[in-house]
Amino acid sequence: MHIPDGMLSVPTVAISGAASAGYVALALRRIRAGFDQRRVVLASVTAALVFALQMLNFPVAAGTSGHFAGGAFAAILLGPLTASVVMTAVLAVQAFVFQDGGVLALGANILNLGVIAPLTGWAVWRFVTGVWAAARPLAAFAAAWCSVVVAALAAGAEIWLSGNARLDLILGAMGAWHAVIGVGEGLITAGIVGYVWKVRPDLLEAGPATTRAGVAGPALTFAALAVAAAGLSFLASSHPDGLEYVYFERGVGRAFEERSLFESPIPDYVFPGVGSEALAGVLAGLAGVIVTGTLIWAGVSGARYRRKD
Amino acid sequence: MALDHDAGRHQLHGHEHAHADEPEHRHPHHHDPSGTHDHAHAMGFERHAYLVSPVHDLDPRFKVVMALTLAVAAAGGPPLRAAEFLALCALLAAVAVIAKLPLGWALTRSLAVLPFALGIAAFAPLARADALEWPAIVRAYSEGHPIVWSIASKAWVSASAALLLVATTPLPRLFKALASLRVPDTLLTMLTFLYRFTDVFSRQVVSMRRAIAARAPRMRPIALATVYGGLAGNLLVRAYERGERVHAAMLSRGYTGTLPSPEPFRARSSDWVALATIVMASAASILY
Repeated sequence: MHIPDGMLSVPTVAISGAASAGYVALALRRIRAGFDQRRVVLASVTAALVFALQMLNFPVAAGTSGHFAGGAFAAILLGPLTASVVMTAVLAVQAFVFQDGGVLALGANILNLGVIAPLTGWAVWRFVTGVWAAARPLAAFAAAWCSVVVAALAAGAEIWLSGNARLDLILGAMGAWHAVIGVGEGLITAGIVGYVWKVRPDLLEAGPATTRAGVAGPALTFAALAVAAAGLSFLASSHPDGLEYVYFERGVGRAFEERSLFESPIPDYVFPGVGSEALAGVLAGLAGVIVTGTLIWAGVSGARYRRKD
Repeated sequence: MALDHDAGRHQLHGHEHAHADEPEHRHPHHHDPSGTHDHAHAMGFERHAYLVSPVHDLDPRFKVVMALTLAVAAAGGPPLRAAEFLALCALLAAVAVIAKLPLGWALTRSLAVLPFALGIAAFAPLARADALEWPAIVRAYSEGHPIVWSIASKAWVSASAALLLVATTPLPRLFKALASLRVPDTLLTMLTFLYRFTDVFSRQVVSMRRAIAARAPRMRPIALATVYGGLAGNLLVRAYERGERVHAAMLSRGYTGTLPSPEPFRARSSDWVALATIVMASAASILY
């Protein structure tokens, strides 16, 4: 469910990016306020662990497979705030190093998998263990399943807000698909929690308790942000993306392939007085000259190097 | 390569060198008294990050900005037309050639983004259908099919830009660049640990999976997930204890909360020229 680039409209990218940046900044400040090096090192090791555990992929259906996401797991172990920072690090590496999720869509992916998933998982975990303390594996399963499904629905909603999917189709597809993936996530998380409870129960008790007090504020802030973002997105979604609206709703999309390079879709509004085509031509020409020059230079120096051998 | 100064023997340093049948590369290393050096070479995604080329030599701070500029230009603007797409392809290919990256490898890695992107994009035209009935669906696709191309091409160009950044920059240098671009300390510590320990834990996962496969070759998915849970729990306990040991070791070496960083960056004229080129190309692609 890592959203690649190109799928979200500019307003959605901006709003989700701002929301997750704000939340993660807040979480970082909380961590720093109660600064405990040992916990930072522990959280860092957890980040590496979540990353390594993604290698546990399990078959879902029709030859496809899902892999461990880890949001609920990190939240149960470290509390939702630290979990958000851990997931931010994981998602950033996934986006840049493994091209799993887009670079511009990173904000949205952090929002879904790094903020919404840990918060959901943590809330379910607290609720179920509060009602029935002995049911830790069950609580972990429910927390992980809910976190995956809710995060997937959030991703679907963002794609819909960007005007790139029908709401009923995308929510149905993402929900159904991740309801299955969530079972794998839930079983693994339940297994971890069950095992750790048997072997090192102190790990489970140390984590969330220390951050419980600090969570209400950020959670409320985030809820307010989410409501504001949703409202703004609804305003924006009547024209999902100004440019694409013009391109596709007005039927200009049909002329899409035929338009020549020299026909400007945005006539002269970027730099008044200077034709944007002329400017673009000059810039493209300059860039082309430099790139070609470097290519030739690299080729020549490469050849010289080989001859020296 | 022969050693020309004695200081190099003990200091961690880097210079260009090549082994028997490998391309010229550079990475931090020590020399032992025999004059050779012994090291594990980066594997997988880092395989090409230590090559020697004009692109590898660029200041990582500039490379980060360049990759983001390209991603914004490609994915943040209107749908890419054929000419723009080809120009961006040419630019990306030129960077890959100058960086001496194997083109097939780069292409395979960057195309990995497409399955999921196409999976969602294939249904995107339906967003504009009035109803889910055949005439409406057909109309939606005949008018809206360019959006499939739009999503897939943007996803690919942006993924390629990120790939070129990471394939030509060792991750420790990339993190250092992020630090000077004001990414918070705590997050960077996490990223550095992520980089350092992912490989260690991955190897543990591989060996534990092999042990499971040897003892229970044909498990049903549900049973498998439960066993994986135990595996993950075991790994967590090991990781936690390793974290405690590592932290104690770090303290013994004078860790104060900030990781030491490699030599500082100095922007050179080539960095500015490269940045200007990318910005001009991106601006040209948006303005057309």
